[in-house]
Amino acid sequence: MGARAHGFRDRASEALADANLQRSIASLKDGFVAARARAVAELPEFEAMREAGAAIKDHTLANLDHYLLRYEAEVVKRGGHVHWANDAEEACRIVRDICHRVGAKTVTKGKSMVSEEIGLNAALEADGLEVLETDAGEYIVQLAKEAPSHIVMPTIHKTTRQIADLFHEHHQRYGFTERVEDAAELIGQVRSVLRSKFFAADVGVTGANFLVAETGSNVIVTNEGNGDLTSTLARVHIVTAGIEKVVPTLNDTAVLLRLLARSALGMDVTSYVTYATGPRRPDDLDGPEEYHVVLIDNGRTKMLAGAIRPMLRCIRCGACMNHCPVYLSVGGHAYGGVYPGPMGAVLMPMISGHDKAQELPHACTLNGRCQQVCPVKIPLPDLLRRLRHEQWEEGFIRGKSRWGITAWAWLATRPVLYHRLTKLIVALAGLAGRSRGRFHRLPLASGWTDDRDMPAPQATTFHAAWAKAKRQR
Amino acid sequence: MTLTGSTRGGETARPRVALFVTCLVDLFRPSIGFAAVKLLEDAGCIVEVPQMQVCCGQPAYNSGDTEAARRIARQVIATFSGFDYVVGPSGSCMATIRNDYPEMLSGEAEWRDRAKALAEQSYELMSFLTDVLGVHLDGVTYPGKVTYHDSCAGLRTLAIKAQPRQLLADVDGLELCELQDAETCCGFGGTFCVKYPDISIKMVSDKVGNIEMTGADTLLGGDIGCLLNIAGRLRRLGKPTRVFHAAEVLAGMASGPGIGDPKAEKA
Amino acid sequence: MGREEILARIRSALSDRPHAQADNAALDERMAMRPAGPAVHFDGDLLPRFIAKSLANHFTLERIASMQLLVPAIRALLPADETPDISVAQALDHVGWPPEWTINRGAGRPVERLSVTLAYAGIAETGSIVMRSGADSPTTLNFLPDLHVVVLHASDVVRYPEDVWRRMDVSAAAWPRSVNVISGPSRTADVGGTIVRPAHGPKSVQLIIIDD
Repeated sequence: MGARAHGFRDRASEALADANLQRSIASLKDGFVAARARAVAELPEFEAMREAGAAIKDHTLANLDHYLLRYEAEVVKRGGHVHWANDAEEACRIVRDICHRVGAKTVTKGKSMVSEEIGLNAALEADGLEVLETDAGEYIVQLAKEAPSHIVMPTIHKTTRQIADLFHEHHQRYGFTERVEDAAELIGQVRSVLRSKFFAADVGVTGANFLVAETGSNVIVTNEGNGDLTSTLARVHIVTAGIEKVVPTLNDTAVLLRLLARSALGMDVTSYVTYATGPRRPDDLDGPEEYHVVLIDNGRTKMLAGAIRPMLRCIRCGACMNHCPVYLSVGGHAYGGVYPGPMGAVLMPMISGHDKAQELPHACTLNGRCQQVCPVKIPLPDLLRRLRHEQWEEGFIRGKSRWGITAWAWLATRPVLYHRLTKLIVALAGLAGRSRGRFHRLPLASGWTDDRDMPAPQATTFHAAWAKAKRQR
Repeated sequence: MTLTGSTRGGETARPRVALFVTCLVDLFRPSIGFAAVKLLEDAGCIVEVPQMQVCCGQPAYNSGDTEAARRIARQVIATFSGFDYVVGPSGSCMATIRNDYPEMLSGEAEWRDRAKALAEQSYELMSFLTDVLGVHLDGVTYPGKVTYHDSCAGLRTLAIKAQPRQLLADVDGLELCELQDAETCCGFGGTFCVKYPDISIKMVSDKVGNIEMTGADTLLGGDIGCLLNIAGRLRRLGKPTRVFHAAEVLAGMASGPGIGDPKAEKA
Repeated sequence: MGREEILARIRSALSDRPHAQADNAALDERMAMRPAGPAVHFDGDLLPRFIAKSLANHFTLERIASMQLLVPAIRALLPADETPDISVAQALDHVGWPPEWTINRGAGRPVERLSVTLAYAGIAETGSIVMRSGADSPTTLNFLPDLHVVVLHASDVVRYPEDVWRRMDVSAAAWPRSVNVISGPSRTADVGGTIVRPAHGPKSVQLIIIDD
């Protein structure tokens, strides 16, 4: 799924005017922000854990080839298969080929953001497969033919009423003829509908919060239990994962897991953390017959090679967007891609290219709250500024944005000229604005004055006043 | 004013401080600059204002024009060498000098070292007064209920949080009421406020709503960019809240018009 | 092929590292040592902490003196007029299930009222139980039932997940297909932010701790 970030401004404006969405987003603040703050306040070791988590990720990334090869060897030793995909198209082809070979008709999916990144569902459906998201939130947005708007809470943009309407429309064929609006009843419908699908699935696709090199395991972190039913009941279990998901040992996962649920949800731990390794063993009574891992690059080696490498530490907790005042104003869909918020503003240009995601690094005040809450200390504002730099160097920033800055920088290195010019302009502006103390309208600055007054200057610049005061001393 | 800190220049010599005016103070509100000078001189500093200064380079740096930012940084470094300290009434500009200059110039050995030296001497005004000079204010009055907006760069890059509150606690008659979401961005963000006005207005409106909830008659902060933004929205909405830079109150220079107010009517 | 191209790009990206290739010996040693990072510090005995945290996780919990008392404990969980039709992990096959009960000893079934499994360990830090898949412990018994009963020996409660990993054999022959660390019943908040139990997994999880 490519980014549609031209049009960020339009989508943002729509989002600001959407009362339902605004209410839903406000609940993020009251919910997850408050919960995370409580969880962190209770844990004096949290700062040390952040340091340790960042160090584990950086160490792994600095030796990524070694750890991926070790991981692959362990998976194979334990009866699994590892595939490597350069990009989205290759990754989809690998999964499609496996499905074709086993004669799959039905595919169930646990939550996997990378599978959305590569557009897997559309590729499988084009082959005539039935693809069912089983995470309740993903199931809902799949029914609604929408993209998830948050990487942890896909339905944050939807009200209970909207979901009730959706189920009333689509669940009739399962025998649910009455419209219900109770959350428990609605989820009960999801449970009922999907229970038989889990058993019918030929292939189950899950993601991976972590890949463990030591044991060749993939780790999934859920609350619903759908990930395990997906991977255990299908004949074939396929794991889709970015190459940056590997960590060295089980103890490394323990550190990162302590950070993950607290940062994402304000919980110490989720209901389920599963380490899945390979197909069923000879004595097992359940489990898949085949186990495949698709390791996906899709721009990650490019990030590894440059200043953007710290972004690969990301453990997909969503804390950055939960605390971002821009995300909290416009929601996830405004970003136009799979990954929204601060992490999306870095990832989308790197995955899809600057041309497809040009606006995202600029839709940010660089206030730094994201970096403060990131469990692995990713310097997100620095990375966004770096992307702006790349855009500047590569000519993506043009027109007013470019020459305005160029003109300012030119003047700024000519202080004598600057002081003379500004003394004059400010005197005039101060005169014009003196009576009201502010401007209601300013040419060239309607972005400011449409909804704000511009305070008027004080009729002199500081430098002019200082020079005058010095002369008078 | 009493001092309990210790400074460069030794026990007897008065520290030589260069004022980093900042472009917005220079253009929009020189009174903040004069307040800063007063506070520094009252604290025993010798204050100079080098003329060859315009801007810290942050607009260029944040827009991606790193080369231009470097040119400006070299000029600032050259202008401001030879002082004991460089102090400015802005967390955002001083964070650029402290944090970003060494990084920006890391590829040029000589300038990198000079940038590091300047960074170590550079301070935001209020943190300089408390952390370095150990200033306690005497005889400053501001009767009123005040609330405080923590500007992002100063807060997160320079850890400025307690210092303004410590200084404001010395002001007679001033009642400080904490702002809900004091640490949430006001939506200024440099060029962000004109590039993404819809989003910026939402953010500043939320800030105004929180200000109203405190019942304060005055909003203070440490960065004029934020204050222009918030005052602009307050005035457009017809709210009576007055807006000053904290330095103006601390220097006893807040009896005139606030930011965005007309010149005072004759009583 | 994708594999060679990706590895080549990785090596190129890491070309500034001090050694031409990853220092394999040092990395293998780190893997063997499995260094532990910061954990949640807590004092006191493990079992009280485990119980308190489990209850906070919305487990329900009872303690019995010995395995002999398991069958009556299970009986009490179902209505008196219902003849139990339950799934039991073979690890618990020896407790002597009443012949009139229907006992499924295989994998979990699509409709599953109650399953009984034996936990490998309990983790005091987080109030979690650890299940390992195997012939005597199918994974599906942990996820399909409405009510999941987990039997745990008090002596199997450890402090941290790191202690669980230390106890387990990670070799290919011994390491199970699935290790589940379970910290409560199934839940979701995807509809309007309202927390609902269950989602797909068990609605409730009853811990039966055997005091030994």
